[in-house]
Amino acid sequence: MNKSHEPEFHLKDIFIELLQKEFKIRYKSKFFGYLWSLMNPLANALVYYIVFGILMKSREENYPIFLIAGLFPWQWIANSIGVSPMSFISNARLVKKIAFPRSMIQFVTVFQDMVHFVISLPIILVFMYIYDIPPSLSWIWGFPILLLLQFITLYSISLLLGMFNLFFRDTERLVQIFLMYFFYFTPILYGLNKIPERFHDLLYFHPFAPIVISWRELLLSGNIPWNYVGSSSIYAFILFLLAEYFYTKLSWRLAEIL
Amino acid sequence: MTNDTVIKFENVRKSYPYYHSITGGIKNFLFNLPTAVKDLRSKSFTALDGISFEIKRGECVGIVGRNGAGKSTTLGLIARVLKPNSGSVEIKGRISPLLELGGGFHPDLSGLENMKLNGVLMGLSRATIAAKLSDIIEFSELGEFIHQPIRTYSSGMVARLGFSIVAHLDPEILLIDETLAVGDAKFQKKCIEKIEEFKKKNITIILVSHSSSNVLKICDRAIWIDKHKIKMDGPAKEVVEEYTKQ
Repeated sequence: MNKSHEPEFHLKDIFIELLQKEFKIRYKSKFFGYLWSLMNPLANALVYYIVFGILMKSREENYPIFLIAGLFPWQWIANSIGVSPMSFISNARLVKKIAFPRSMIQFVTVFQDMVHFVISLPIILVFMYIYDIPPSLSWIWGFPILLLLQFITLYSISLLLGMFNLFFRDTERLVQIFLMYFFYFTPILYGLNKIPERFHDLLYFHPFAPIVISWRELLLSGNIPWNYVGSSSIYAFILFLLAEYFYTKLSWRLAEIL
Repeated sequence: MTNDTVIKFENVRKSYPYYHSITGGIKNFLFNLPTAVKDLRSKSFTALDGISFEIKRGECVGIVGRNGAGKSTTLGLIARVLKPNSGSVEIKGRISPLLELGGGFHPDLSGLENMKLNGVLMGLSRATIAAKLSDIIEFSELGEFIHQPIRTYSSGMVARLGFSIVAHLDPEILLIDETLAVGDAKFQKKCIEKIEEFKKKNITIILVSHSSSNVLKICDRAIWIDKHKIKMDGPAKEVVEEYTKQ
């Protein structure tokens, strides 16, 4: 065992520098920076609108805003989870050389995606204005609750997948497949009412559907579906405990596996 | 541990399981489940087989040995990124690892941004880094290049940046891993001068190298690791002499 005093780190400073790094890498070399980064979810939304709204004639009311209100939170999920298997591997040099608190890598990545989600919310507001949907007071407490829940969930899953991928290096491909399934089994392109009643309970076992449903409810009608928020909280809590447990066990092995 | 001992290895063993039996992926693992589990449990690779040494404050120690002898593992244990399987490793003081060429640098970030990032990861506060920034930039001789992305740097420039950061970290224990060989002659000289300055300040320096000339130039003492054990530990000159005979 290392009996030495653990080195002290300025966690806040590490957080700020890593976050700046992420933002610079993400926006700097891109031509339009912020605007460019909004293109991806909007382009996605447009394709789904054409296919499901126009061609398949979805009967969902105000389909474009309905789509966006579910797609944007999903984008955050897909971004964070999508890169998470590679999180330790792509920072291998740092992890192998410096004994800094490594879970910071996932923390910062998910935080960055959260900030990205938050700054894309004005787009939703524009659409709500177009479709004449008023904002609601419940946003004041609804937003922080959902942001926190989704953050904890994604951070925990990212940390777990980052570690898991060190052992099983093909995790990334599986994650992409799972993400695709989870996406289509989340009521984003269609409403909850399209899912037969008897399958509704299954949604509680879906790691992401409850929170995406909650976002859309909150954004479009100001309701907070507490049943879904509750199940998401339980998820977030269990995942967080799991992630911390494995991280404490494995963190000192990271450098030797890489 | 006496007062002036800063690094103490006591009968340290370090072995790695054969992770490659599983890093082949879930698919491989499932198809070869029995062998994979057996390999993981029973087979391991011993990198260090019971080594002990003490390093005192202000000593400048070179670690020599052939590839795969266990030098990097020793360094990893000192840097606290690895833990021994048995025995004990005691370290006193803040460690500054000099990252190998390009390590820890992100190619799209400028030299300056990399500098700050490396600084906080090594345990400095942003305020401390800000206060030293101009010194680091001056030492690195990178001039205006400091604002350019690292990917436009030559390998010598990257090495200069790396050394400049570490040189200004106020290290208590400085770990150097094969980095001195890069950079032009003038900058190498500057590095060696800086190291001499550290020695005067009583900073402990560990230099890992398979080139014996740098060890001779800088270190007073050398430890020769051969086949995962310490073969020789003594004055740099004697150890290097024996080592080069091989």
